[in-house]
Amino acid sequence: MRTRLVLIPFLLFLSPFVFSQAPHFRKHTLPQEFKNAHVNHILQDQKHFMWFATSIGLIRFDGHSYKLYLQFSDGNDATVLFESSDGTLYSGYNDGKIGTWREGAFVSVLQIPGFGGAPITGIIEDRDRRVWVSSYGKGMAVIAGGQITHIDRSRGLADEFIYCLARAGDGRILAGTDRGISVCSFDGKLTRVDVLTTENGLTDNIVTALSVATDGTVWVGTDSEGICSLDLRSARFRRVADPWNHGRVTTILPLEHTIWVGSAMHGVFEVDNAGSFVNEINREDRKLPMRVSDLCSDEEGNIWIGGPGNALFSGNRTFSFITEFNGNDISNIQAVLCARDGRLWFTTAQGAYSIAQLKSREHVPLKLTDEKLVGAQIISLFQDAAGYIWMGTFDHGVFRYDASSGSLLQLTEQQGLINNNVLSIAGRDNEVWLATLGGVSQCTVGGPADKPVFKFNNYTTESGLGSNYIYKIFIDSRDRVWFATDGKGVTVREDSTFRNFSLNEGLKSNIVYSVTEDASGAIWLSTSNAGIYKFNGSRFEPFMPHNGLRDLAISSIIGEKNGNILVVSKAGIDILDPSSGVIFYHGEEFGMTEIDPNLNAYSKDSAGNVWVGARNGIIRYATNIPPMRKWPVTEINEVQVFLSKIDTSANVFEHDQNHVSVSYMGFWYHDPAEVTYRLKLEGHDREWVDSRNHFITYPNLQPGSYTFMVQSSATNYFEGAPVRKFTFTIRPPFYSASWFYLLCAVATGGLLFLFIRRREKKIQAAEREKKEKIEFQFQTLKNQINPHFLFNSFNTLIGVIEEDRETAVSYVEKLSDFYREIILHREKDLIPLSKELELIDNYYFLQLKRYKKNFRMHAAVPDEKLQHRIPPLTLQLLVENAIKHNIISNDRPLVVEIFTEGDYLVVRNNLQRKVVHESSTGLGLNNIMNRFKLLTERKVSIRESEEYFSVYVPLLNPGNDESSHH
Amino acid sequence: MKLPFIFLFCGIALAAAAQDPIIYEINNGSVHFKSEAPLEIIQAQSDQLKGLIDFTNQTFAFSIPVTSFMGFNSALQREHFNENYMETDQFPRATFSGRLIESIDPSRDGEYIVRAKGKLSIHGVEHERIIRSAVEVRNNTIRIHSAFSVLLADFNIGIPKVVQQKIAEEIRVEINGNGNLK
Repeated sequence: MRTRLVLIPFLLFLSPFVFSQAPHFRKHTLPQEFKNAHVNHILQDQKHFMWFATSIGLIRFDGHSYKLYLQFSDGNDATVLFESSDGTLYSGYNDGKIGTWREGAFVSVLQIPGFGGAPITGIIEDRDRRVWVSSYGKGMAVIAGGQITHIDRSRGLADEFIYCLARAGDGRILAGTDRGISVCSFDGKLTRVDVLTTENGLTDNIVTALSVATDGTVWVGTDSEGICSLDLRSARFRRVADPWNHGRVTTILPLEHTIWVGSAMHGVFEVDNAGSFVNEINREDRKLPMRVSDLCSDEEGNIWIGGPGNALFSGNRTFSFITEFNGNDISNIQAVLCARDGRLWFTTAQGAYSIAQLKSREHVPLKLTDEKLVGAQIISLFQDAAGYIWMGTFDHGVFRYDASSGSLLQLTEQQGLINNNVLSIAGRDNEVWLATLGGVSQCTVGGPADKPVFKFNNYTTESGLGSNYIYKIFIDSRDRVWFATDGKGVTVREDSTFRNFSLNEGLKSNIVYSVTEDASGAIWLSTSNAGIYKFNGSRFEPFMPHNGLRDLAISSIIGEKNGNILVVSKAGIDILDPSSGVIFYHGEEFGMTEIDPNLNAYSKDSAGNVWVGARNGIIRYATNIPPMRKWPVTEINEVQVFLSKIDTSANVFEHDQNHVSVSYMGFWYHDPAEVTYRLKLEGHDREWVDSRNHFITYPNLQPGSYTFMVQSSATNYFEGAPVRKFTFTIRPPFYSASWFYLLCAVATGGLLFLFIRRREKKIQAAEREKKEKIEFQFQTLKNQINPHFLFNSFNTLIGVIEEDRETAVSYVEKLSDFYREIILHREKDLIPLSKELELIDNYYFLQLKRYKKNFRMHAAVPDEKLQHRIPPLTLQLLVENAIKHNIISNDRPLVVEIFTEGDYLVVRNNLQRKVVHESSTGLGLNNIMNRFKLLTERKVSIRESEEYFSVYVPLLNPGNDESSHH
Repeated sequence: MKLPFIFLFCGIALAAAAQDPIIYEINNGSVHFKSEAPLEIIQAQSDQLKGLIDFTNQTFAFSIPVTSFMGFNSALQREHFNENYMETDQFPRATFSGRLIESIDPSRDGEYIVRAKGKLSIHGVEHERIIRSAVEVRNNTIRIHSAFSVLLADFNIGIPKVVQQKIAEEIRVEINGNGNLK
């Protein structure tokens, strides 16, 4: 029967009919107090923190909380951030300041002479670790070991208004300016500046963005002419992404296969290496900013987008979405097919569509319409080896579409198809397998292209199929054909024989929705309500990931080329890593909420990417990006003792530093809320402790050795997760250490010994002194009541009384004064020299009356010495000694002189020794000497010559400390 | 308040002195603006644009007295423009000065596209702008034409809510000027 086929190209708009796909971008809501922050620059540091240079200051983000770094009182409008290889973070500001930071703490301000407040626009490091800084208006500078070289137009720079810096693969530094690109070579000094302008093929001299891809290509963004690529070796430019009418290029982010470009007018574009537009990111995600300041890719592969007015977004490229084309919503997808020409086919209740990728420039989308297609629900799609598109329907059999001629051909039961409800199509070479609600048809296509012959071999339960209701046909790499049946498990056809696997072969549900093969060749299936199974060669074993399935009703199971298995359910598309048995949930955070996908509505493109049809559009799972990390990056951020930060290189604490807190983080920016932790303090905990906090405190730790261990996981499953450790020791207190006991014992013994010895010495000294004092007093007293003295005194008195009564009275007064002074002073240790002189004056008066002119005494002591002190009665004793031992006569008068010599008091008399000694104990001089020994180091000395007898007595300073012995 | 303009003028003159520069003077330039709001179209024009373009040093300066705009829908509207929005008492002039990105050889007659990058100062607020201009040189005379738009919000010109339907947020500006070699 001839079918009449009508193809109507369905032109919806005049703009190109193309599709874009974009990851789901999550808006990061900055805290209220940071509102109005313009995000100017984004950077991830070596410690995994995200940093944002914003108009209100630097902001650091760990996935959970934001920390604002304000350093300057005169403005913190940060324009640019850079981390050097040694881990120093540089922040440039709009008013020309440059700050340096380490470990999240401010270090210093860098002043560039010659910049004079011009905005900082770029900071970069060259291969020799010199730091280059560019300004907007004042050229740039190279900082090498404290030496700053300023580069301006006089040094060959194209212009002093610099927008951006980049480091070329050969180590040269590129600067984008108002007048082209300056290429700078530096070797100790600036050796060469080459300038590339429109004359060299640059599309626009105002170069606003520069980026160097890993292959060495320099990507150049301009003010008005979009982007171009530059091969630096040949200095050749190539215009790409043409035409460009999206305003200034603000930033370029090269990725593995494409580059992302931020514009000042229309948001973000994705351009492939060949220079064609691939995606208009804002087309799919309308909440993204139209004016983009910066793009950044973090180590997880997330893309960060920053813009003015609080705009901060991040998205993971693993999944991207097509939700519309040219203003038409794409929803409730029934089947998806990636055709080999790059077109994307999908069907909805409204019909079958074919849309082209943005880069194909093929601006004609197709909607197939035909009187037979009207009302036909296309529920399966397949492209055969010859390129024909097969479309399986409910009740209308299968259609075969020839894209080159636009002809559509229908095959139904009348042509030999076993049933008109075609749920799944597979095939290889010229063989197409059609799964229906009434069995399976194997269709072999023969004959010439314009007169094809379709030969059907049909199979049913009678042939060995488990059931005639087949949801999915899958041909594996060993040419086995698998049939997922409704109610009878799974059937496989191998070497023309059918074999069935159901409840007896391990399945807990007989309703099998989907079959797939993983990269290692293992067969997997999913069921309507009993999860997933893995084939072991003879049986299907239930496979439960360690962290469980979110839903046991799995609509599709898809092996992808990197070895993972996609598990598609209502909740989202989870990624199972069969080797570790861990499944990564991907739901709401990735833009998948109630995706409610149709059974087996998926297709793989030639690159291996998987496209899944869902309720709200088509989801692409990317296989050509770096594989997702399995674990969050765990870091111990800070260790605190009694809540004050310590340097983690120090790990021995005193016994009273036993309150230890650790702050840690599992960095997992694409879904931070999923991260959980497992902690253990070895030496304290026996078991791992689960936690969702980022901080733990161990108070009151006993002395001992401890190792803090932390793991983080985004799946709640920790086996094999890397462990971060911090080992520390708390010292026992010194007073409980054995050496301390020993030391204490020795010290106590020693001290006791010293104490006793000292005490003994002291007692001895005191006793000796006491004895000296007593002896001295005794001697003095004895002298004063010496009968001779009294006898002589009285004799003298008698003589005087007779001659002169008044003198007698004065004599007695002097005698009495003399005795009173003796009584007054004898108890004292020291008296001023002046007092002693008064005393000796009285004594002299008394002696003068007796000896008349035969005895003379001269005291000549300078005034400054009068306050010096000596033991009382010293002079008296010495003068008395002189009287006692010398002849005193008219012929030979005795002359006693008292004077000072340095710090000595000298008592000198002319020597005229009596032949017969008066009785003498010799105690007098000795006694004086001993007394002085107790008072001072200086000694009493006696000097005897032919003429003189002199006694030198040390004078003690007023208030002197030489008397410390007392 | 002609002072800033004179300063600019002097600056250019001084910078140029060394090289015997090629300077064109625009004496009778016009500025036309148009606000297309849902409820009203407002436009006005001034012929008092003056400017200097130094092709040797690639610098330029333009200035216009804001009060010179005429052609509003009513006299009251002009009064509002001067008093409420532009505050011409405080900010009598709008200026644009800076440097030329593209270098052209004005000794050769022809038509060129030149981008002027500089500080556009309106209502006392400065904004860096790159404005594309068509330049035609014929026998030592010059003709420039340029069209661009200005966002009122950029220049701190507030529109009361009640008249938001009558005044566009984005104003289209068109500039024409003729000049001679100095």
